[in-house]
Amino acid sequence: MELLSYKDPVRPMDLSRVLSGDLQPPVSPTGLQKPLEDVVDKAAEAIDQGAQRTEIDALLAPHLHMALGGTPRRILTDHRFWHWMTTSPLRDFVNYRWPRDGDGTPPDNRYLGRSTLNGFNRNGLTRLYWTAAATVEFDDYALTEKALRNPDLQLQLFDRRFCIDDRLARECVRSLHDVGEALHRRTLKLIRMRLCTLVVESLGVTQVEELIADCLALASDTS
Amino acid sequence: MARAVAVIYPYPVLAAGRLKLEIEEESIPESATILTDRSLDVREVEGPFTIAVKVAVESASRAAEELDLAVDDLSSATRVVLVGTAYGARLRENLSTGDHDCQEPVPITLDPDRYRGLLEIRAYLIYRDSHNPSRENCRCAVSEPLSIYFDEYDSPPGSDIQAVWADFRDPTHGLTGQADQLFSLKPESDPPLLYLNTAIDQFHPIMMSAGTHGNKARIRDTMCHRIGSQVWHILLSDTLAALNALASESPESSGGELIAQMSTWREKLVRDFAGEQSDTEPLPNVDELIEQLQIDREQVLVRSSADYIQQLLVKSEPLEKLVRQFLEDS
Repeated sequence: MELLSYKDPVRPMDLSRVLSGDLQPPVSPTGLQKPLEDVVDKAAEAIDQGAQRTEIDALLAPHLHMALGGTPRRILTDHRFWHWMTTSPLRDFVNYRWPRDGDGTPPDNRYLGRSTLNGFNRNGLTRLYWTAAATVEFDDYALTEKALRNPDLQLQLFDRRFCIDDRLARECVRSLHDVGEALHRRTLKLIRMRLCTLVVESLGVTQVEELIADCLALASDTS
Repeated sequence: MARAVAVIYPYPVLAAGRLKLEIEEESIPESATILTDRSLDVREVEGPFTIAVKVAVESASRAAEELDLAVDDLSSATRVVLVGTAYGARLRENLSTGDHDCQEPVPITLDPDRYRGLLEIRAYLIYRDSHNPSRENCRCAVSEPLSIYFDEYDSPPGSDIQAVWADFRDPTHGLTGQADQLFSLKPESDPPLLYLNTAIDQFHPIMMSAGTHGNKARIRDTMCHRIGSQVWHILLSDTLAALNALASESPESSGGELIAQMSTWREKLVRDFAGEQSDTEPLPNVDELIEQLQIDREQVLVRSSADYIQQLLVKSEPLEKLVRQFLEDS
């Protein structure tokens, strides 16, 4: 399937009409062909089986990330591209995962989001893609699944600025996915405090691991 | 109860502005546009390109003293790390290619396919482990950022304007006539640039403070609001005057044709001010605005502009939030 992008972002006021097909925003080709059909099929399969919400996130994120492999970062950070993704090829997934509210209004932040870190972690697809991108290890998505099966940890990590350091995100998921909400929150707070004086970009992987282990130990001691 | 957030460094650090980071001008690609001495527009640059930056500690002997080091030990006890931050591209990365001190220019290669929006490059001076293992990789100085724009500076009404800190007393900035003023605006640049004066005592540390509560935060937020209000008045008045002049020169042209002659940010500002819903011609609200400008310019410039700016600032800083922050928390 050819990846397309809307020429302009979809406005929240237009979302219902775009989803109903009454409004068809103009698109631009990206010139890239990617196997999105596989992701659409996987989503349909999971919806048919009535998959739970975190389960379908954990299932779909690796497929979405793999399908978009090789796409330039410039396109992957363009919210016009993701607006097309959520309202066109993967609309059924977002509809299922983020149902409309009582009066039938679609949750616009799940289809659109904003082009901020927080906004990307609200959009129904970008949150999956960027969680997978940060946590994949040599085509192994075990950490991605752990992150997405733990919504509070995912939110605490990917709503924050340090989520864009992949090493830090990976090690946090590895060390904190099963320690419980109170402890992972305390640990992440300690990490943020340490990063006020530490230049994380200067650290090696082992030093990142040590930083997280130190903070986890300290958070455990004070619990 | 009032709260404050601050970073207290448990070791010696240098004051803000002591670590200098500059672009080597001769390394700038020909197709790039120099916006200021600290910002580049690289929208027209095709493919990966390399720029060189130079890092220097102001008054090394004094800096060594402040860091409790012998001047000869400054290089061996510290090193420079260059960090690129592009939130729009979800990147924060070490751009240094080796172990740098402050001697040689550092080449940085940037690929436009990897970036979106603004990339800010900062230099950090950090302690090496050989000096004191407990301070390894801890920052002891940070530079002002260099700004690299990979996209059109997209400043929708209500959002920030690019600000540049400069010492207005320094003749190279051409601002000596305003040396005692807090800010100066250059609306003729695209995007408009707001110069803030480092020569005003306490202005820089207050405006750069990170706290959310307390006296410093109150002064900072009040100053932001005051400067924001004045800046938007200037930009809007200037833009409407430019639109009026264009309309007078070409009375037969449509609103769409007239705003197409303006810079992108001015066009966006006119569209937003007019409340234009249509993306393509005809632009009925812009046409109506031009007509109003021709009939009663004062009314548009004084009353409508004031209403618009108040709404703009109220949206970005709701009164309830200010009351909560300034009155209820006291």
